[in-house]
Amino acid sequence: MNVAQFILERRAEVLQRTVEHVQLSGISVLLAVCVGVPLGIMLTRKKGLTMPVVGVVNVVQTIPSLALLGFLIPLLGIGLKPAILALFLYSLLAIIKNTIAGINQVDRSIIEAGMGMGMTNLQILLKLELPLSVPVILSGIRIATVTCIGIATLCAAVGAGGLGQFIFRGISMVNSNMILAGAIPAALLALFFDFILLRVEKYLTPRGVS
Amino acid sequence: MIKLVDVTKSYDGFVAVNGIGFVVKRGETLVLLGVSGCGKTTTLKMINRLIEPDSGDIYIDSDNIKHVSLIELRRNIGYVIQDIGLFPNMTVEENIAVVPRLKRWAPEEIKRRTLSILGMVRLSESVLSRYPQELSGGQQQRVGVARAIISEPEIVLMDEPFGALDPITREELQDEFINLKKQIKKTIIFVTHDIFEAFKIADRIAIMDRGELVQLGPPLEIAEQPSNEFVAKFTGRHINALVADLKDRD
Repeated sequence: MNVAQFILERRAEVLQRTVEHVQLSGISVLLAVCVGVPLGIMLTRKKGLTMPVVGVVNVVQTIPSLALLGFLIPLLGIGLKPAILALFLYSLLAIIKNTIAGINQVDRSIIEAGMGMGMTNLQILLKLELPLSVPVILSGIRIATVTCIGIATLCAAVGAGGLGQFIFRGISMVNSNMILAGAIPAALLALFFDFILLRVEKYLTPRGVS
Repeated sequence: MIKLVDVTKSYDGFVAVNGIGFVVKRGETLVLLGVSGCGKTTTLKMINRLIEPDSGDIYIDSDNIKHVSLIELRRNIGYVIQDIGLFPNMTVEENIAVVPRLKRWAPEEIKRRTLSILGMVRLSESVLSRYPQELSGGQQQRVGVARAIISEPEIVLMDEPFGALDPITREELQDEFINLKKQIKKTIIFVTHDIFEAFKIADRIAIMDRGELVQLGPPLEIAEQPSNEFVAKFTGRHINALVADLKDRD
């Protein structure tokens, strides 16, 4: 039996696991955006805090993902909670770093012109800094999403479901069709979201900014 | 009228502006002239409080600008910079409308003023829907000037506005500037290191050197009676050509 037949036979479960996978990654990235973008903006205001905060987030990034999930079990038990927290932490770095980079790359003369014309700090942020850093911030979100979809396959190890289920089961059963039934949809998901978010990036980038 | 009284600003022990004082009369164009690092830009930016002085006072009419709301102060002073600083995410029309919108003018009023200002800076209506990066350097700075004067501020600060342009465009904009300032009759402080530019456009010139004001007077007076060796040297190389030119004009 080839992979295609295998997947077709189990399409209901593949679909269910795919939905779980998207939910798991989606919730985590969304949370990371809600925390990471404002945090990144704040760090461009308080430059002294950038090193410590980015340092901590960097260190978290270096913890092997399977180990991090393991560490979280005694704290949060098994299931969605440890999985979402781990994926959230992994997504944070790219989002924070790109938000900082995006805002810092806005030409000083543009900000100075805005200040000189009497814009408030909030107006400068909303009318100049954010629109002008959209491409950089969104590419951070895109990187975080693709990474997250990859790492989310490991979350099956803590009982959070997702396409990792097939992979872990396939490994223990030495069944490569089973492994591929998880791996192929996961890879396709990553490519799909990469493509979609690239389109969003293009769409939201203000005309006149290139 | 703008009055600076004993204004000083230093950075980490380097005195950028040292006890400077002068008065700019209503409706005149005062040029701050000097070499790089002489403190002329610092002086300019203290007037719209992009830089706060360490000591001394600055008055606009009779108000000490320390006691004026920062945002209000800036919205009532036009500001043009060398790097132009147009907002790349906005069309030319939106760029020109920034201050009127901050001041909550009615849209019809903004449109009407935009069209009349375009003529003054010699731009055609077709540029309104374009983005800054689609314009030439000269056109961009024309938009920069339009943006600074559309809300009819009494005071306009210009920081080497033509410094980044090619020589031909620069001369063109200088000539237009002379016409424009006759039309709008604003108090203008104009920073430059280009002595020809200074003599061409100024009503009076303030020469600065290492943070201090060394001479303030009309161009002809500065050319003919330099107050010290620095001024003599600074103007000296070009002096004969300039004097001849100025006398021609009279």
